[in-house]
Amino acid sequence: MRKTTFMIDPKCSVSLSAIVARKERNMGFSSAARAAGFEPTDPNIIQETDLVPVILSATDADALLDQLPDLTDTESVESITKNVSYAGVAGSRRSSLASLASGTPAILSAHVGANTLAALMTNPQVERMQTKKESKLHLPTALPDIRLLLAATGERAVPETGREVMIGVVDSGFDLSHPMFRDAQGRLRVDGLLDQTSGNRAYSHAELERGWANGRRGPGADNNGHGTHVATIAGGSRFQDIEGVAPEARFLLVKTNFRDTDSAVFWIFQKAGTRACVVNLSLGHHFGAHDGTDLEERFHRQITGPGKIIVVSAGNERTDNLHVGSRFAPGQVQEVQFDVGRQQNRAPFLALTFWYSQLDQFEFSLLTPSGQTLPFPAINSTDNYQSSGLDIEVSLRPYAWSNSIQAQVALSFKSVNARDRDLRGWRIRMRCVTAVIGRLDGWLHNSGFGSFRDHSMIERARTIGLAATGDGCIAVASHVTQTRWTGDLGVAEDTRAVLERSSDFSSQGPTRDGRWKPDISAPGQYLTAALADGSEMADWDERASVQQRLLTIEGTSMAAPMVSGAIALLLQRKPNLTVEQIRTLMGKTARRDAHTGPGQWNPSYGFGKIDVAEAVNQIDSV
Amino acid sequence: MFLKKVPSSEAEAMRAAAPPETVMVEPLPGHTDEEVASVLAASGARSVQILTPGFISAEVDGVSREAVTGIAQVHPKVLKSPRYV
Repeated sequence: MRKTTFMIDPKCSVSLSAIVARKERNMGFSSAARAAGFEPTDPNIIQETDLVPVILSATDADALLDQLPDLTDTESVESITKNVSYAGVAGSRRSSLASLASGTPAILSAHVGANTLAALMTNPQVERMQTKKESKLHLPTALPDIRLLLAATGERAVPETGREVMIGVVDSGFDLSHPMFRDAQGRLRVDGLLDQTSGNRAYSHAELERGWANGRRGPGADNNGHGTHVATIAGGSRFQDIEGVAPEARFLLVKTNFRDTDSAVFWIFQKAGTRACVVNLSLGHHFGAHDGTDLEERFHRQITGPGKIIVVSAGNERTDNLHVGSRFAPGQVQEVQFDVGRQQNRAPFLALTFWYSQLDQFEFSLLTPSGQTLPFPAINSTDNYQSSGLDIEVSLRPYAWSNSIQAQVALSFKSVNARDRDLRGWRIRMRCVTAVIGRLDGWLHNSGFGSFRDHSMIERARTIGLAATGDGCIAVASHVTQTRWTGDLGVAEDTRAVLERSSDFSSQGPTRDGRWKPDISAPGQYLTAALADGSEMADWDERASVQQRLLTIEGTSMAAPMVSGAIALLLQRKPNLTVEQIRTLMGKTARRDAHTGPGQWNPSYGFGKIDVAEAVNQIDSV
Repeated sequence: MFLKKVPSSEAEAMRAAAPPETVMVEPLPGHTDEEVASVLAASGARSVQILTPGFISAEVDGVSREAVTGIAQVHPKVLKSPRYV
């Protein structure tokens, strides 16, 4: 073995110094160069046409490019800090330079041959230069965790891919230019799309192909980025290192207004017709009884059936101080304080609902920050209060579906610029008059609108949201399967997240009436899937890899489509499975470990962690 | 900030004048989906659609809401949030 010695340029990485030294000596590439992603066409000699991917910082990009020899046709240099790129044409370089101010420090990305590399190394403007490391996306942990991929080989553990099954997704929109929505021939795998934000217009497959043929803003486009990510977790085609759970399923998509989600589910099942279909709802709220009797939950119960399944995310409100609950004794008084949150570009709004048995009697009053006491009305009544900046509605009504009483407060501020002293320090006083059951639960209507202040009545249990508390769906919690990810700012890590543990945001069960929800837990923390081009999330440098068109985010929103995809695989094998059969199958095959405990059900994990391979294997048992 | 109680007649008028909203309508016992849907449509409700038996989606204003009082329950549709952190 021949020993090679070369000088390491102090402002360059070892591999770059090796490449230049070996080029000068007409030697082949080294292991260091190969590690840097440098793959010459001829391993015995480095040619000028062999390009090296590098990133460099320069004190003055203008001066640097002016001093460089002309680039070859295949070489390129582009500014990362400014949106300027230089193809390998000498004449165009000067005009491009005009957009970089003279004397401006810049980070440049380049693909250059060894001669240009040597010139860069000796250029005084270059502060530091290193090879671009191949980014390893920390994503392949989720599919092995659900036992869909064999950890040792990376191969799928089951032959099912979701073929002949429809996956419905009701969400913020979809970037159908993304390859994860297309098959190997580049054809869309979407059979239809309903846009509820634009006059309920429905698009056929052919209309979508036409609409998305020329660019990245066709029908149902995703301004937020959530829907694109969710859909491709469930059923995205293979793209880079990523693949959805059911990559051969067909999509039916609804860009929703987040209110008519019932109509969205109806449209999807209607479009699916006799084909097996699973609908993913990575959305929810807390404005309801949390006992499975909410109207939309009863609707889900009715519209599901053999081969028609709904999956709902459990919610991310475990630590949001959004729920209070306690058992009361007659005469006991509690007073909980809460603050109303500001909303972006709209006036603050908050609704609270409290629920208790019709066998019990409670008295409520609302105390304003300035000390005014507003009593609740008699049963079956609503009272309205007004000031110059605020409307308040308080009501007390029987709720027949579960023999409960619903006490409700709605605060509607009139100005975006409501004063802090009017938003903070509200109180609800509750007095138990008579108790047969004596249990009282209250929720803010959704996260992000306000929060209860610390109080002994605050519970993490029963933070599972609607419509996940309904029996007509599979409710999905989240656990951690990775703590590191790659975005445009580089590799990042959440050092507080513990692998395999329930995500600290994942809402807990049971339901208000004590039923076991969530049903199952799936990976939902730091999942990488498709990035919607031009979406709000594309601006999130820490999480988005814009060039790679990938995004890493977390939430039970991400866990739910893991399960939806898994159900698509089950439906491929057995298209007439019901939601009860799937719940039973997932429950009996779920993985339990030190985190879930050995018990049959856990408020954070449900019946355990989903095990796709085992569920497929035991599918004939239900 | 001092809050004044709004007289009930005034509050009723405010509710009646509220802008149209999308709701789910459930016929009360003794009333059919078709009956409620036709009353809704005749009173000016828009996008009336029987989704499944017992569940009618519609966009109602104060007039059409009042028209089905006694034959159906009207539930406002709740705005949901996406579940990412």
